[in-house]
Amino acid sequence: MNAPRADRPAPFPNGVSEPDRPAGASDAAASPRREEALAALGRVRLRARAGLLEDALGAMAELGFQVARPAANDDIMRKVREIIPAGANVVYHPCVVGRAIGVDEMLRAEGRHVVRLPGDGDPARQNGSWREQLLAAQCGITGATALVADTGSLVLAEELGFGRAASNVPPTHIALVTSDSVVETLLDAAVMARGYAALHLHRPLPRYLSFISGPSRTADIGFTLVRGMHGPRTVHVLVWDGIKAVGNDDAALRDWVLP
Amino acid sequence: MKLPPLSQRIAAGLADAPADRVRREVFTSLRARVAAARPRYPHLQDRIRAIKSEALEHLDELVGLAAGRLRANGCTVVVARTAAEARAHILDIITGGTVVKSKSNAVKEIGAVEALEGRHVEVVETDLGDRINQLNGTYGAHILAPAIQIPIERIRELYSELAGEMLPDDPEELVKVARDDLRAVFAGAGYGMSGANALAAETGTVCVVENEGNIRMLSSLPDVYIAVVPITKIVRTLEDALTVLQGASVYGVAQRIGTYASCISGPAPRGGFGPRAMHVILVDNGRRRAIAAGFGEAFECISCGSCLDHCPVYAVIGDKYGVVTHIGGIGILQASFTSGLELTAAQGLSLCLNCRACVDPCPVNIDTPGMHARLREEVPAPQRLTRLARMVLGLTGSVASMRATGTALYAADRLGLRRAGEKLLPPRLRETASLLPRMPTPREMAPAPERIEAIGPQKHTVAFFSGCIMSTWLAPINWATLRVLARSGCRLRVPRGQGCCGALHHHMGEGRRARELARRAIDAFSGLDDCEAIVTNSAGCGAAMKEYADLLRDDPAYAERAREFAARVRDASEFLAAHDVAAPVISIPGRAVYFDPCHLGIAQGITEQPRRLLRNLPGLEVVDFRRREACCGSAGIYNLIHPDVSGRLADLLVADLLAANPDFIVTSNPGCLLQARWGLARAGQASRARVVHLMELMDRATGTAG
Repeated sequence: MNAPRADRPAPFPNGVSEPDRPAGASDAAASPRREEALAALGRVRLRARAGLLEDALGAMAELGFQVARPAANDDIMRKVREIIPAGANVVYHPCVVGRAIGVDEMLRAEGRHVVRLPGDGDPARQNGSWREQLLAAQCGITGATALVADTGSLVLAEELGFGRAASNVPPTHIALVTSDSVVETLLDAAVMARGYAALHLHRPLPRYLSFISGPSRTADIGFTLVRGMHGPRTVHVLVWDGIKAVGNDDAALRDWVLP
Repeated sequence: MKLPPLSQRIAAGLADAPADRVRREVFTSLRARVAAARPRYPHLQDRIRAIKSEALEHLDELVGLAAGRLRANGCTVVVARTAAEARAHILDIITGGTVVKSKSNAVKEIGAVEALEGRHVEVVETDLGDRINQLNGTYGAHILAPAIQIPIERIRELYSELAGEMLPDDPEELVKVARDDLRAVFAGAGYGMSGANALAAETGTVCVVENEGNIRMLSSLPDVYIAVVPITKIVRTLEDALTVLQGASVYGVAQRIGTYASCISGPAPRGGFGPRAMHVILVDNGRRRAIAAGFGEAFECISCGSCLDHCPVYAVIGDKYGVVTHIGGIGILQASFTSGLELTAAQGLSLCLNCRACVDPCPVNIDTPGMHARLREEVPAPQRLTRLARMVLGLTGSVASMRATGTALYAADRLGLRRAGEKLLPPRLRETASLLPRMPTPREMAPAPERIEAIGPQKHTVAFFSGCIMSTWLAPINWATLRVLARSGCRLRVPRGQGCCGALHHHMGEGRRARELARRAIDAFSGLDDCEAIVTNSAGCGAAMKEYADLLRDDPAYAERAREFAARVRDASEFLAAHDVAAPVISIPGRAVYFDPCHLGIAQGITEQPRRLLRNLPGLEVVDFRRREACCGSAGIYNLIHPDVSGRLADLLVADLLAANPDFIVTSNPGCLLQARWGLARAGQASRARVVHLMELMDRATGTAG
């Protein structure tokens, strides 16, 4: 594979804030869970077939996502720049693609106001008034743990919960995804979420798991479909032509489940 | 809960033309889209059924597991035995300020909103449909489309008032105003409250699905998030929960999954973004009692609303079929346990047609009509049935009485006294008098011979079930059927003393009488081992007899015999289409439309055979028609109990039928036949087409004289 690959981020360099552990749960219990998770992830990753990404993107386009597959890093930048008006407030939830192309640094350098939200692996550098920042933002940028081909869904698995706010509060959402994120079904995505939790959080599940299958919608007035009721009116899915992980070994699977 | 009398509510429902128009538009598009979405997931229904019944079987274990895991995740959990307990918990948590709330049947059920408002807590609905209802001072009228009954003109008025300027008549613009209105509320609310589509016990995960994003807002922005979760929403795993969410999406709204599915396993951790506190109120409120009483299936419901979209009664009276907290047939069953049978016995337990149109479209395949029949047994007869209905049930239970009455009516007809008799009926039943057929002659009503030889070479020996009304008031149809069968090479056995099948009694809650009649029928046909089938020309009798095994499963002496009996029952069209039919020799010129009795098409899955037999008749042009509702409204004696609902359904059917401009309206069930005639009479179109039984046309085409 000669596709570009993200530098393996040190998962939780400063440690994710430790969730409340079930009383009596010990790390001994986490170990078989880890093995199980790795085995299940390996199976799902091997099942990925040619054409699955195209299926996913087709389904997503039908659901009203704005889907694009820019050819190179520069093209992703150009696309992001096009979407976000100058002077706009942006909230950025750290992700593999964002890190690889330096999306927040770039936007900041161009004069947009970018708030970097804490990711599970990037705890807060400052104490933000997150609520106000989120409500004031015109655009939220996130990654995705997985894409589901069958349902055309973006999947966000996380412990801290900033991803779901970034993907719901601002009127525009940009999801930066990798081409190897796609799985077949919702239940395969559940395997990804369980894998992420087992390998990075030592929990059975991440605290917040979100499936996003199109822009916010309502048909409550005259049974006419209208977008942007409470969540974003526009959701862009930009597929970075790179991958999260090479191969199928434990280290690769650990990287594969990151957003 | 104080509701106006059912008759008034039904009248109001029938009179609400704008709501009727909106429902019609929604159903037309939604039914087709759901039907198209389902085949992609051929195993979904079975999987959900298995997940839900397994969950109910292990309910106590799962409640304990879920509560433990949720607590370990940092949630506060209470198990409320009653709605009052659940309300009290909520009032402990919420002491003032503003609550943002999503659409939730559970919250509605426990009356949390009223209780909070009583304490001067502001509760703001955030689902657009519910918000519109809140502004309009009305209640949600559909599980998934709560403002289904409110036309856009009215919504425009409401939001124009809110905005202080006249807004355009454009959903896009109205949604913008609605978004801004609620954004301001979200920003200042201290509490978010939702229900749950499922709760995964193993991980303590509240799972919700929605399209608007309001649940994502209210479960992340306010400091406190409260999920009100009926214990029967608990399933074992996250995967089970996701399957349930997908089922609700596919079957409810024809989406592969709703726009947002959120799986929430606790309050935000330190340094995270989300509620600081998360409370889960697990609600029993009659559910364990329902399970113990054998009605747990009613709570396997995943609240997708699909049954409403297919229910003929809901189609014509909307949410008046229901009790505000619970809507439609499934809602009546649930409310019977959450609010009590006293409420539902007076408010709609009598409204299910038993047409079964809701069963297959249900993602859990819930037998709502079957449970209605069983639950009706719990209501004393005088409360459940009008005097007339009791009289008719008494009559049909006895073929001899039917014959005697038929003979008397025949005499009255001959003497021109029918009209005078009709004038004696109470006004609301007067128009249903035209449901009574013109009586055959006493000779025609005489019992058929016990043995009839085949005409021509004998190919089969079959037993014939003659029925109560078919052997008397509609006897010519029985004779026609016997002739067609004999001409098709059948040697016939018509055992004496077989009586009525008991279907009407069963549906009307007279279970004991229904079982008596079933046993009598089984006895009458015992010893006829040489008969390869028990043939009936009445869809209602056929459906009931095919279910005898179920009806008598707790009767040790009859359970096995009932199974054997049921296995041999065949509708006449089913039997004839599977064998060589007498060759038609006489041409019948004209256009014919066939309409399916629900007890044949839905209950027995027989739709092709009658049409094939009909198409085989020379001269006849068989045309299709677009049918809006699955049931004609006859439904046994429904037309005597709810003549207004039944009449509206007859009108719908007849309008649909006449659009095809037929000479013959053909069906396979006595009730449906009389109902179609009644509908024609109501429309003043009695002479537009002849309503006949399929066997009458086959008789005409296959022979000369009997």
